[in-house]
Amino acid sequence: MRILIVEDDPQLGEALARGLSALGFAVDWFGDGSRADAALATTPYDAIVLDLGLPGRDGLHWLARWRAGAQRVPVLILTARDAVEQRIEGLDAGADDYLVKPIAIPELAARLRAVLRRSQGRPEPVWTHGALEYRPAAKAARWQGTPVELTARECALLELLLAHPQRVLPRALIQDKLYAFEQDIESNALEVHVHHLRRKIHPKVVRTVRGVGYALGGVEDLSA
Amino acid sequence: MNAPRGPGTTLRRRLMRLVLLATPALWALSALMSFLIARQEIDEMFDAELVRIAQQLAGALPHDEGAAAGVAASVPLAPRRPAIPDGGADVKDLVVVVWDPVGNRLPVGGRDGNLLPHRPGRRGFVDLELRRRDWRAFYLPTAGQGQVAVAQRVAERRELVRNLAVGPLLPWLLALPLLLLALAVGLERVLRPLRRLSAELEGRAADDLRPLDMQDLPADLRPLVAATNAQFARVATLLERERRFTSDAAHELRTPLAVLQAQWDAALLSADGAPLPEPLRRLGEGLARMSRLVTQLLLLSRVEHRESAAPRRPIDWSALVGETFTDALPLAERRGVELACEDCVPGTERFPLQGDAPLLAALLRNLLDNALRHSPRGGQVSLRFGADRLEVLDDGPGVPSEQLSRLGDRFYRPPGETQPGSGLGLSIVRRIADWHGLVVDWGPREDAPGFRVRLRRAGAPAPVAAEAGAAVEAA
Repeated sequence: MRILIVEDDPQLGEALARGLSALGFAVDWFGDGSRADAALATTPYDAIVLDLGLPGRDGLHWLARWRAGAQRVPVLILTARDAVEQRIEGLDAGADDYLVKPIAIPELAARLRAVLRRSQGRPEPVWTHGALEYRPAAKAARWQGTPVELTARECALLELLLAHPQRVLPRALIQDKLYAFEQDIESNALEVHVHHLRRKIHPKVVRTVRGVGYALGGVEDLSA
Repeated sequence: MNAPRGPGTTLRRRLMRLVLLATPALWALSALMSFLIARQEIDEMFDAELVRIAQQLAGALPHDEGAAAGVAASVPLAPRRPAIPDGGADVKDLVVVVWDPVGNRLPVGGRDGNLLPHRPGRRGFVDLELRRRDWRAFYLPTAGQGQVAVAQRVAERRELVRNLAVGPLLPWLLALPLLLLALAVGLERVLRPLRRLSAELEGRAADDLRPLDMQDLPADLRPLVAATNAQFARVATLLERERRFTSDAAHELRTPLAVLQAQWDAALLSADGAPLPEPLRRLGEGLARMSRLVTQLLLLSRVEHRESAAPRRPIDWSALVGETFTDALPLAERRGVELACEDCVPGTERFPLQGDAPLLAALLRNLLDNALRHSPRGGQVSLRFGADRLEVLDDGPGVPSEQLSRLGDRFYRPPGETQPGSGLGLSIVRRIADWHGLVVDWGPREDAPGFRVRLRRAGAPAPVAAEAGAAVEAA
């Protein structure tokens, strides 16, 4: 996956580039917006990590410009500006996620993957989470290299969890996504699907957060 | 500076008191003056009358004093009333005496003539006391060197003066309550803008610095309100500058921290999973603590400068719980503690609140973080909703009761605390709760061993068992 980093602090930019490279991303790092803009015009990036406080025109300017130019590549804002209003402003300008410095590089990588999975442009062809592989185009899952037979509903649930690997998804939200057009849902239908996923893949593939909803199991638990 | 006045002393009361005292004093003064003037006028008038009677009498007497008696008898004195407007002066208080040159009193009309002393050769007024009464007499020698004296009781005059001077005072006294009433009503109306102003200021939050409305204000109040508004503007500028400093500080602190964190992570990731030497591992922990402290400090400073007028929206607890549990999940996994939410069934109206979702998320994050760090492996941290409360419960060892009250102090960490932390978490929680009109208290759980932090609406009754906890009322 090819990532464009726009960060004017040389030490931070260098470390982010090095850290993300170590995690398997192909990274190009630029210190200002215009050079990043030029690179974006010629190179197909999968995602952008954008600092807001850039020399010259600031990050929001470039973001607005890219979005106005129908540039759909997912943008993840990484900034020291932490006020709620600024976060809202950033998301309104078309950012896919908004992160406040400082952030651990593995966390940044996880957010990048999540953004890529949800991206409307060119979604990641294979989603990996520990020993779990999922191909959204084919709706096919593999556990430790072995194909897993999943029903359409189970597949949708797994895809939803994998698209938000960092989140606890409230029950209501999962039900809305899974049963969008259905009227009568049996109250325990969701539990049944979760139970099946655990049986077919791994007991820890779905974590129950009692009283709230479900979350994807941790990478560490699913690496075996 | 004026001497301090009692709390009940208002401008209105002071003005009323002033009018109440000053008006009668002024009236008394004016009454005194009209009394003095009337007395002088009446004295002059009566004196002139005495002179006139004396002269008439003297003129009517023949030069031969011996025949005087006959003439005097013919003077129509007694029935005649003095030409005085009042007419109240009684003729019986008038005494006329005629003496012949030898000093014999002639029998002229009028009584009490025998009391009046003979003063041969005397010409003019004399004040006398006859039978314990004050009299005023006019002596006039006659052409035949006899003497005429006309005297009148002074009381006669005084009564007239009193009637003239004091009479008008009575209606004035009756008018005084009416005047005060009119004054009270008038002041009530005049002071209405002032009261409206104070009501508006009183109802304001400490950091509500919008200018006061100058419309419909009397001209006298405008300078005061304009000055107040100018002061508001200055304070607002000051606050704004401080806020901007906080924001700048955030940026300036976050960037170097981000550099340290990223360099550390990059070094770690490049090391390809090789175990770290102990000093380096400690360095990483220190870095994490530093990040956390700075984040907490900035959050606290932001919360403390939060305008109370900032917008509030209905809180979607379900989204908020999802978000904060997401944030807490990694720590829960690391520590082997289960996260749960009780009575979190979606759709039910639990703990409805108007507020600021990001701030409440920060509050929950802090509480969950604390609880997770103090729960034993295999334990459970739960969030429990009630109709008017929200509780975060853990099954950790809790805090000794003597330290409970200090828990919310900034940078306070109980002795023996082993978990990394800034000591700011509960200060932040308390400030955010304040801002939402919630009361925070904490203490041992009632239902099981463990620690409990509870948020409830200010004014909601605390359960009996709450006395075990240190209640921290929203200031």
